[in-house]
Amino acid sequence: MKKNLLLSSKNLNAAKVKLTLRYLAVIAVVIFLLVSVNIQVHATTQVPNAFVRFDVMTTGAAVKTGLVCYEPNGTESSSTTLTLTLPTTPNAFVNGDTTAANWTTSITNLPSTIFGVSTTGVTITGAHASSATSSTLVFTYTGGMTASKENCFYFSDSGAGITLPAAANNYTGGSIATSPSGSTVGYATAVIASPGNIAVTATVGPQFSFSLSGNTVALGTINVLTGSTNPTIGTAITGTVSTNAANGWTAWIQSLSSTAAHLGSASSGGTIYNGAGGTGQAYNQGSNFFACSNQSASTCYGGYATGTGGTTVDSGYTHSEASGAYYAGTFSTSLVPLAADLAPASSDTFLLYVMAGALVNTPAATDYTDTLNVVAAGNF
Amino acid sequence: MQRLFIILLAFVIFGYSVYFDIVFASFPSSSNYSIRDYTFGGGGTANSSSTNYKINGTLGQVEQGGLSSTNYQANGGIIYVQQAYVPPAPTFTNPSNWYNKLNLVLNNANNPSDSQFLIAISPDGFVSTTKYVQADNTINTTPVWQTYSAWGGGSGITIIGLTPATTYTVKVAARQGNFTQTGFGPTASVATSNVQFSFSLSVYSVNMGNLNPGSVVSSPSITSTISTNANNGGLVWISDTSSGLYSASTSHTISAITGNLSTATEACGIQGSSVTQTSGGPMEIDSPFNGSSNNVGTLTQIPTAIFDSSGQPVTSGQGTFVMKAKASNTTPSASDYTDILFVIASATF
Repeated sequence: MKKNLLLSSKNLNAAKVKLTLRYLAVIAVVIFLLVSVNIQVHATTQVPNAFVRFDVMTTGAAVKTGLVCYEPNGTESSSTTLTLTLPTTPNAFVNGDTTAANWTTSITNLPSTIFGVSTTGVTITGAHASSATSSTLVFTYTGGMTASKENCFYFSDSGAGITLPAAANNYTGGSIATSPSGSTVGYATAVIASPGNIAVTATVGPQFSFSLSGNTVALGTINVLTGSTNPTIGTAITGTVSTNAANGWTAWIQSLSSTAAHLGSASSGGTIYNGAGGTGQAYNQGSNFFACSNQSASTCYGGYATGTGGTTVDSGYTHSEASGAYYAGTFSTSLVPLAADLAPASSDTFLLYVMAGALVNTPAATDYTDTLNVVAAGNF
Repeated sequence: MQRLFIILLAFVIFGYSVYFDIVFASFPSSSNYSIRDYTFGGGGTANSSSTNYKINGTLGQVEQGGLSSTNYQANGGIIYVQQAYVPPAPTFTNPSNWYNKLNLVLNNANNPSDSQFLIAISPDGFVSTTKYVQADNTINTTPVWQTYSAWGGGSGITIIGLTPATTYTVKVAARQGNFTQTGFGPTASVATSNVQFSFSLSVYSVNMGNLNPGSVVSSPSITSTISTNANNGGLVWISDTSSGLYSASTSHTISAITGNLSTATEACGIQGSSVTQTSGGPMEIDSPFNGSSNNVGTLTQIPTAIFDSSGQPVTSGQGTFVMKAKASNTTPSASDYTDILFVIASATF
């Protein structure tokens, strides 16, 4: 009896478990049905966008170039035609060139982004419009439009272009449409009063600057030209010239000596000319240099120069030393060319060296002196 | 156990109904059901059906006729009573000068939350064109039923892909299962705006005066102004004829660069100096024109964006810029240095 009772109890518990599971299953189904009624699926759709940029926006002007960009509504893989319709309201933009082949296209140098959206070029069939009327331009392409990108191309007309209305205003009625299976986007633009562009003017005045690095050349004790002694050469004076003169600049030099250029001593009456005779050699542009060597039978006093940048030294002052002989250019008591540049210069320089050599019979004195005048001017 | 089951089931259903706000009729009703009308008739069929059709019919009920006024209608019979509540006119607005979209908020007319609604829309007052708002808020010819919640609930939806300068009319029908579809309720109408764009320049000539060598000189300011309701805002572009300041008398160009004029010997370029707007945008200066001090952006014959409205509609969006130039001491002397700037604008609709 007890065993039978035990068995019955087990059976009863198993039955209770099964029943509980069934109840729970029903509840679960009910819950599922109730909840599932309220599950919704929301989809989002991007609206296509487009713009056309006319490269001229002036009243009455002819527009021959521009940029068209179109971003499709999601994937648009089957469209083959883009139609640009010109604005109509309040007045029409009129295309004066209905020869489709004149409206060429290009995807070179496209902006990399438009409002942060990457661009991609649209390769137009034949690189020109397929048709053109007074109010539309039609372009064909293959491969559809790329999603999530601004699909762009430039257009350019070799003919009369699009004539803008004569009134400054805002204009609507234009559209950019792709087909088949594409979209139409209306656009507005504006026309502004002539000239519609901005003229920027400026002046650059004549400029000239000139300076010398010093105004004293201390030759010290002038060498006597005997044996192996060469003439004394002083420390260079640097002349610096800057100018925007279209034809450059010229520098001149003169000795302010009363007679031929020379170093003179008031105390001793001694004179040092550049060359033989009482006044040395005469100035002769291009050949006024005098060989001043340790074998000279005459004193020498003159100079030579070197130049930097575009500076050209006058031929009479280019020689300094060759084969043991020093060549001193003769100073004139008139202003004569020293150096020049034929083009505008920024800090052109010339270095002026003064050279002198005495003889054994040149009177001794400490006051041999001369004054050189160096001037420059721009050649405007 | 059985009792426990019933209690649990009832609890689940009650809890669900409280959460999702099922409305119970006041009388006659039970916890979960309401009877809107009851009568004793001669018979009928609740849901006979074929492949494509279902029929719900009763005998002994009023089959036609009704009472109506200008704005209301009441029909007789149990078939009419079991229909959903006819939705009033929705709230249909153009809140911000939109040209290709409109806002719509349904009035669910106290229909239960599992009721569905169909929104019809027409650009001609339903004279010849009827379309329906789709689940993605575009419009098409396919009727689409969704719950009030799916149609945006109290916030509503923005219907997109519409035509500019067009008055749209909408009306709404409701249903709650088979044989409960109402007719369309009253209509509401509102118009999309037209596409809008305006552009102007403050000046058409500026004189930089004398360019002293070694000094950076700025032109007087030039301001462009755009206004547009384009969804993606406007752009201002700049280009020029000479890629710099050109003197015909000397055949010399002070070339435009992108860089720092302070360290350049001779150069010029454009610098955006300020932006502002009345509303929308905001306007911003685009690289390479957004430098400070004497940093400028170059000019070429290819238009380059100088300002934009951050991809948003904008009202009176202004961008101001200057041309900066520096001559050297060798820049040829001339009084005819000139450049022609082309400043144009566009908007992405």
